[in-house]
Amino acid sequence: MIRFCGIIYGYFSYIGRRKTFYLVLGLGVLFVLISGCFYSENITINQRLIQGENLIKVVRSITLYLSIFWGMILGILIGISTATGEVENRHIELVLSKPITRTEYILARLLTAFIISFSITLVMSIISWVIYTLRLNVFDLRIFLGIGISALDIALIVSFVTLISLILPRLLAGFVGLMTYFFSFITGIDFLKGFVLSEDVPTFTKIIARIIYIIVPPFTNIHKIANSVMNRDMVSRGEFSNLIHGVLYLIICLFLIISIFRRKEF
Amino acid sequence: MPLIETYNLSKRYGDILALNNLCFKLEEGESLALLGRNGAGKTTTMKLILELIRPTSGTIKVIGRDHRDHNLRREIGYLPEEPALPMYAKAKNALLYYGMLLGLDRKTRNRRVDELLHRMGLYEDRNRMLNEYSRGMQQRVAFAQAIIGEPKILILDEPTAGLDPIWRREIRSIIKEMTNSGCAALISSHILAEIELECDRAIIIDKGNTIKEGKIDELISVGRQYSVVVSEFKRGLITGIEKIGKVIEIDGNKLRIELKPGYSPQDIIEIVNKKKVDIVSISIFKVALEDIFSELVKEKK
Repeated sequence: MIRFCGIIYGYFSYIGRRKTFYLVLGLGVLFVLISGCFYSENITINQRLIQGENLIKVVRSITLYLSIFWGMILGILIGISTATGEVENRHIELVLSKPITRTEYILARLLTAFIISFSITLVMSIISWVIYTLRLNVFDLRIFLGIGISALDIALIVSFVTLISLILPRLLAGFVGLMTYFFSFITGIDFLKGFVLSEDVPTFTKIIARIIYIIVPPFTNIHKIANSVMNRDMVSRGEFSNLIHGVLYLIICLFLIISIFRRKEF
Repeated sequence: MPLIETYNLSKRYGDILALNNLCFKLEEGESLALLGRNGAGKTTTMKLILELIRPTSGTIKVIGRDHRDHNLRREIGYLPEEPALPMYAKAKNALLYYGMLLGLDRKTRNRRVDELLHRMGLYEDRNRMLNEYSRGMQQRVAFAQAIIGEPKILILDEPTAGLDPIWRREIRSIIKEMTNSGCAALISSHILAEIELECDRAIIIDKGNTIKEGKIDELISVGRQYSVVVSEFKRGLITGIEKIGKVIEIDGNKLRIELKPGYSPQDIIEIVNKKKVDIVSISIFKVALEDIFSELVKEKK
């Protein structure tokens, strides 16, 4: 246990010294603060006045999207150095010469990356929550339910980018992670899903589409479930299957990371 | 029981054979030097023992157990050739971190870190960042992390690199203290004069192959050569000596003689005395390890 905590402590110290981490964190907080300025008791969307419970739903959703977005960006940033950071500077030789298994090492690092990214998401949602509680004069804690479900999103992006960084150079892995995150917005669009699943679409296109849905991590879909649960909206069985897809994706990512890392030579 | 045993250890990187059938045993209290040019396979051997890389063939046993048991690394202190320390950390915190990785409890960790900071002359600078340290100071921190867990086995790749002569001597004395108390040391160094002082045995490897192995004393005493200092040099001495051996070098009153098989230093004494010359001293001729090393590597080429 001490050894496991040692790895976590080491990685915390490493990330705590990175300027990029504070830059992204600062930008995130700034965005949350700016968005908070627009919260008022009368918000108009598409010339429709939003008030009451609907207003809170909209504000909660904006808060969730903003907090998760910056959490995901930080997850990508931290994920690229989780497995390979110490390999590139060769500090890994000293660390693995101590009585630590490679599985312990990589799991501790992944856990650290997740804790940091999720904590930042939580901090941003708390800032946003304080702002809208004060400005809208409501006391509503359901945002944290959404943030809790979105923890899977954070864990998934950290693992996904870590896995890619074991295969590709770090910067490229970060780019792939970012692009995959953006691409998941497309695969998460309902009308696109409906189009692909409709009977008019050729079988081959359907197969390709299904493969794409399986390969692309379901970031946006998990996000949508978090949003629905948080806002007490109906969640279909299909949407819940995305949650299972996310959990399975995470397990597969972890399995591959451990397998590749255990085979690596330093 | 040997603390490290390797049997037919080989490592291949693609077409390159980095290590070929290396066999050695490292006993308790012994210090073994791995000598060789750059790329000879010294670091590869060390990394194989630590399981940082996997052997292509062969086996390694550490304290009688398969080296892949990660708990064994609790008993190993490793200092890589170019130790990459966490430069963003303070020296004290870095050592505490290594203590944690070894699984030392808080009390032991703090005690060992304080002891080592004092011993390495870094106590006053313990709260400075490692990137503010000189190369020598960083090397001392790296050495300290290798011995923080009071290991039974030391694996040291160029342990005195970047150190001034005073700290070289200090590190040597720490290694000596540890080996005297039963610790075994596997050392790689290019400073062969130091190896002569530090190690009991040496293995010379070149391009992955073992070209010579033995005790340092045996390695540096060349064949049956003797250094004889006589009271006065007479021409007739050489004719007499050539019956039992060969005079290789004459330097004033000092002769270097290689004996033929079946003759002993006693025969030299008798011949010299017959010529009515006194022997001032007679000793086994030794050369520097560096010369042996160069000679062996040249032969191999």
